[in-house]
Amino acid sequence: MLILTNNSKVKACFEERLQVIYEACSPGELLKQARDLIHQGHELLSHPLAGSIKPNAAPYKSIALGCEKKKLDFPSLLLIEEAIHTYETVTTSGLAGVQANHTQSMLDDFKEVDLALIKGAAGGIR
Amino acid sequence: MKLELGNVPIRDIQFGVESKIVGDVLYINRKELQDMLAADQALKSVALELAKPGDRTRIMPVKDVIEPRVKVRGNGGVFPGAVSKVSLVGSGRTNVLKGAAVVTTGKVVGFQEGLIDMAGAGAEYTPFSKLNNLVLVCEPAEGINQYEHEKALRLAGLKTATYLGELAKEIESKDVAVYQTYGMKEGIEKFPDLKRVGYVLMLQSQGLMHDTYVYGVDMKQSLTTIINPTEIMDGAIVSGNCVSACDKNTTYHHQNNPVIADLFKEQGKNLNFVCVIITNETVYLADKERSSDWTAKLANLLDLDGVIISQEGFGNPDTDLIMNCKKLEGYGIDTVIITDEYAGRDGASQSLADGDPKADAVITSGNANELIQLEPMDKVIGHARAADMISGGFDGSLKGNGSILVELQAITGATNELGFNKLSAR
Repeated sequence: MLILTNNSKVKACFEERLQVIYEACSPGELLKQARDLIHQGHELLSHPLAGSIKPNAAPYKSIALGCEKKKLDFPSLLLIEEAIHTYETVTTSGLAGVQANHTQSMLDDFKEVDLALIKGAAGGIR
Repeated sequence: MKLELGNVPIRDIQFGVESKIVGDVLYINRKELQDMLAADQALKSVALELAKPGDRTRIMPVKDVIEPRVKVRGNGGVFPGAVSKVSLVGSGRTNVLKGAAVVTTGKVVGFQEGLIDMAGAGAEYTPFSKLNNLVLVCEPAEGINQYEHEKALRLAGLKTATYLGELAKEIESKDVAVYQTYGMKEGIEKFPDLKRVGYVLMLQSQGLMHDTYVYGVDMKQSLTTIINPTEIMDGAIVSGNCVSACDKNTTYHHQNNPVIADLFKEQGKNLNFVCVIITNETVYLADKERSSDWTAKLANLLDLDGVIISQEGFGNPDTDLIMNCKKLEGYGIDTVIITDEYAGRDGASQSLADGDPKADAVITSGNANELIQLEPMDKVIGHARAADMISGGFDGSLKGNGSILVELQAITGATNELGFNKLSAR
């Protein structure tokens, strides 16, 4: 399994046992990077819109993909395109979004919830 | 299975020297209850407050709402696996403190969820403004992490509801409703000409503050399974999720599930209500495939003709919803789905993150993005600054005079996808 993340807590948790690509970028940029990896043949393993914090309100995102490059997986591509569409809709429509000036403790809480989501499958990361 | 629910009406709630129910007034010995809750070392303090219908009071951030109930007769105790020992519930008699609720608040993480206004415009959007609420304001002990804090809050709410419920154990209710379910063969023999209808109850199960527990089991660790609707009335399903509170099922919603109530009303008249299938909403796509495969397989094994599906949440659960719908329809089982919408403040954007032509019977419980102005209240129970950091809130949501401009998603239960709400769809 490969984890694409902009969350340093997820990187620290998984980098010794899984392949982790860490990018200090926005969630929107991370979704597009996931799309690039899908085009390269990686299969999407987790839902890109995990969690109930709205896509534009959550500063951190982590996405699980298959390690191997195979033939392009169309369901993965469809799902990531829909997620990018949803993300762009909410960020361009002036809806409630990321608040400026988060405290460090607030950012840590966002990181913790993102970590819980990526761990949050039956039996955890397999 | 046969369960009798005996309503004990509660029209007022007060602190008193002894915890008891006299007539329709619920008295609570504050110190006794606080001492009981203080036994949990994860909590530094628990303050108790009252919030009644019409009070100019705002409660935030709300984590859960729970209805006090007690087993009077029959197997097991309420909230099995959480408060009572694990034992099958759903039969015998249960008394209900109808009109009362326990509300938990606390700051598990920096961004905060859920508000209840007891008066004004916001009160119309949440069913809990109509109840006599005992509110727990919990502060965690030093060094407690978010997971331990969430669990302590959840258990404090359930223990309090159990404590209050016990006060009604000896009361003979004058308002008893009977709910009877039948086995497969029994149901077919009893209602040979009626369509067999099931209910697929989707449960949020993704991680911290996004979880649901069934008999104490974290639902993301369970395969899709079958539950008797009367088990749910006895508290077999409890909530551990509150993020974007408008469309999350509190424990109160589960105890009073309106889809189940309506299916029982139609039982034996227009349909044969067979059972409830509970399924999870997880983060991993393979789990979504497996869980929706099992939903459709179980419905087919039960020879269902039709199914109602209720979603919990939005975004990634839209995928689970559509997978369930498509696979059930694939077996020739008719479906109706209940969802809500995130369609932008003007309602013009695409409502769901997924869709399919088979999802051709849809009930919406409203647009969570719609803006609402909440007037200032005289009293805030909990953390007022949470308004800026609530889902549906934004920087500047909290105005200087105490009014709040938020999306409906900030209000607990405003677009509940069991159809519990009444105002947000038009």
